[in-house]
Amino acid sequence: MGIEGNSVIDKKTVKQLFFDSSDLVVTDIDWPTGKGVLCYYSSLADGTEVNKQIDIIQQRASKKIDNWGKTAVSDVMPFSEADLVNSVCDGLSVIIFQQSKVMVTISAQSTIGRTPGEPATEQVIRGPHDGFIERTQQNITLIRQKLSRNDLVVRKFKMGKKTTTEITYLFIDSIADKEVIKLFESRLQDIQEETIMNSGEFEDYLEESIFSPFPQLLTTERPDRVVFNLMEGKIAIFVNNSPSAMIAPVSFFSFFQSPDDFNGRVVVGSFFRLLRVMSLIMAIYLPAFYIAVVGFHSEILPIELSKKVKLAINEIPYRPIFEAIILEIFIELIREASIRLPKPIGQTIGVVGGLIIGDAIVNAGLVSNLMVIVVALTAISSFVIPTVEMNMSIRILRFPFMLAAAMFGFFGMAIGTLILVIHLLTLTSLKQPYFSPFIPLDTSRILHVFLRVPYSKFHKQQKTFTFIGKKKGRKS
Amino acid sequence: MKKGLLIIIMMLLLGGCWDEAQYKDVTIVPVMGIEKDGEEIKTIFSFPTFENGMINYSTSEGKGFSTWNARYDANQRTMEALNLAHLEVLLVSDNLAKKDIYEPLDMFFRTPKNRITSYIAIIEGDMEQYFNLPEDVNTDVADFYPELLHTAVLYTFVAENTLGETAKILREESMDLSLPYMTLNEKGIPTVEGIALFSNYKFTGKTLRKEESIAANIMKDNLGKHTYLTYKWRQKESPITIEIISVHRKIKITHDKIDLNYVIDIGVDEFPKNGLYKNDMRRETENFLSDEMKRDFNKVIQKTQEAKSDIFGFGRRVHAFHSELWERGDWQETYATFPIEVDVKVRMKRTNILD
Repeated sequence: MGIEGNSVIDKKTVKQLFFDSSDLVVTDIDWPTGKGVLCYYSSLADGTEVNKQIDIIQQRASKKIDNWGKTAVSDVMPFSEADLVNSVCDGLSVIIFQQSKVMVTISAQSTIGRTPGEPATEQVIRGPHDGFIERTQQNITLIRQKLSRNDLVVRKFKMGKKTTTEITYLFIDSIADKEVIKLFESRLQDIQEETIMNSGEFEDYLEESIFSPFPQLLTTERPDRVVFNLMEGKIAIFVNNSPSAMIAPVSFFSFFQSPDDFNGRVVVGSFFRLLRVMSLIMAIYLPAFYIAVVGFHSEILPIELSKKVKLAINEIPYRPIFEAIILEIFIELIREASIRLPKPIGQTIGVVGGLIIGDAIVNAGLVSNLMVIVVALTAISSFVIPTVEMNMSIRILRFPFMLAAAMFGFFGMAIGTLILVIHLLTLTSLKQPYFSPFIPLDTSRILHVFLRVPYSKFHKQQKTFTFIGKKKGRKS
Repeated sequence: MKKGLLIIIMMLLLGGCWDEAQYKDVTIVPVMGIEKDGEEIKTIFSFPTFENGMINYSTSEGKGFSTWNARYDANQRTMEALNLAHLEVLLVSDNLAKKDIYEPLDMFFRTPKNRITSYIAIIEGDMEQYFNLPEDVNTDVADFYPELLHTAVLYTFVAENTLGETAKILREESMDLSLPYMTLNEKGIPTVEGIALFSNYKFTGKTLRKEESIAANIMKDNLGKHTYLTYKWRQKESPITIEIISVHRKIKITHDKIDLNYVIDIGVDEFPKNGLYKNDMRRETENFLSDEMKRDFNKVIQKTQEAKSDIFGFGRRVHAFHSELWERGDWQETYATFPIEVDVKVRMKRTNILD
């Protein structure tokens, strides 16, 4: 279409430019320097605020102040069609002056947003109870409030030409590894996609191994978690309109840390961290172990237990692997159903699914009661893992192990473990080793994986994946 | 890529489950008995059966010219395959053990799935009686024997004899085997009577009974969790029960005799006479106990020498350090006539709360 060449910019042409959308407000406006056209989306801009700002700018213009158009919320720029479209779509209000070919943009967006409440997936008992919301600006506010230092750098990256997908990333300049930031920025430049709506979509562009079951970016909705990671030299990434921040590069063990550990006492924090490591092992291996024992290695059971096991499985009509798969699918169904349903009905599903069907399925002889115990225990331990992505990944992982155990017993499980460990060792997150601190070995940090070590002790200032200098906990 | 995937899938599907043994298709056998029946070997298996959510017990018999053959025979009349991977107790009849104990046991050591930490015991008489417990026992064979032998080991009636240990000692020239010996009492209840003495591969028919077998275990310094001995103090004036706390032994072997020197720490668990707080009373009791134990030990030595059974393993030291003595001939023959002197010193460490 093009109105730039056109000498007349009036209400009609502007309306045409926005396809005559009904929420677009276009009015003529009188101005000391001549007539102008005001346009904004009534759905994005706050009308009363716009009026106030126009008044102020008008006064400045009539007083003939230099640069009357420039205030804290407004700007003057030469008129161009692309800028007009972008600005209005961003929620700005624009006054176009036909004669002088300039336009004044006023940022007075109406804000619809939640209050920063605690994210439902990452609740803690002790610690801050705020969470990110769908507006990046507010999210950065939350972080800046917690981290008031000038070397906290916020960078924005606009994706594509037409749409306004904005990637915002933060890092602390003095701590973050320059190489990692460079790599991250080059990855951003390489993205050809025009619109990215979700952070999940963006993850695909950043990750090295997309088909790996393990997430290579840590997603969180908690500001304190982001701050904690920034302090370790990580990069935090926000995608417009998404309440979750992504943190990279991360290691496998970052997913097993909960803010609760750091707020809690040393002994308590350490206990729960060990419990989590145990639950990880259980979530992956328990059903596989049971299947292997029942199918191949029944001799390892002590005789008393062995009789109970035999009693339970003697009249089950099929192999333990089918038993396990029936139950696993059943549990996944309950889980999936209760996510989709509203809360009060979700509980009903839990009762009906868990108690009634669980009991009936054993009585009907479809599944042995021991298998119910094993599968339920596995499900519970998989939910202990504090990050949602890892928790999903671990739940998926037990299926290949179950298959391996059903076909080759302990031998199959050993081979499975071998493959899993090799995969973990070769995996990288932004080219940083995923299985650090084990490979490459850093003995000083291994303890931190399993225990919550007191802060007052000496420890190193982490610099993404290397260290600078020593950090002293307390004056002694 | 496609070809590789196909090969992997085929490998899994064709090779899958190659050594699978579904637990519901096998019968676990906790107790097994072997005896000689004429020229043949007879095996009896006791096992739980699982039907309609109930555990019952059943036995199965087989005959053949070897243990494996007899087991195979029994398999032909058992619902599910008999699996010895859970074997808790193996009973061997004395008539079979007198011939050669190793022969019927050989099959247990060859296949890796067999359990070699199960207990082994020698029984006196007919095996079948041992598998039909009288009503009084009120429990089943499959539970009874493992618990019985476990208790016997805890209270030092017998040493912990497993299949693996048995094989180890059998293969050794310088030490002889001793196994728990069971008899039936007048009510027909199986009782751990003592220790059966072996000379090389053969059961000698001679046994150590009750206190003797406890004494033998003390001499071996092979104590269970609790070791109690009761004596009649001052000609039946008062009983005294002692618990052995620890045994310190010194063995001195020269070319013409073996000197055994024991220092035994004890605690007193029963002594109605009281008065152990007095020094002279205490010394008298210590001396009395030393003499009693010395007599017991000497009796044990004498019995083992009669049986030509070196269950203490003196032969090991002789073999290692006294080659001249070792080369005198067959060690069992040498042992039978070799002078052995025992000296015991009892130290009372605890009198418990009364004194």
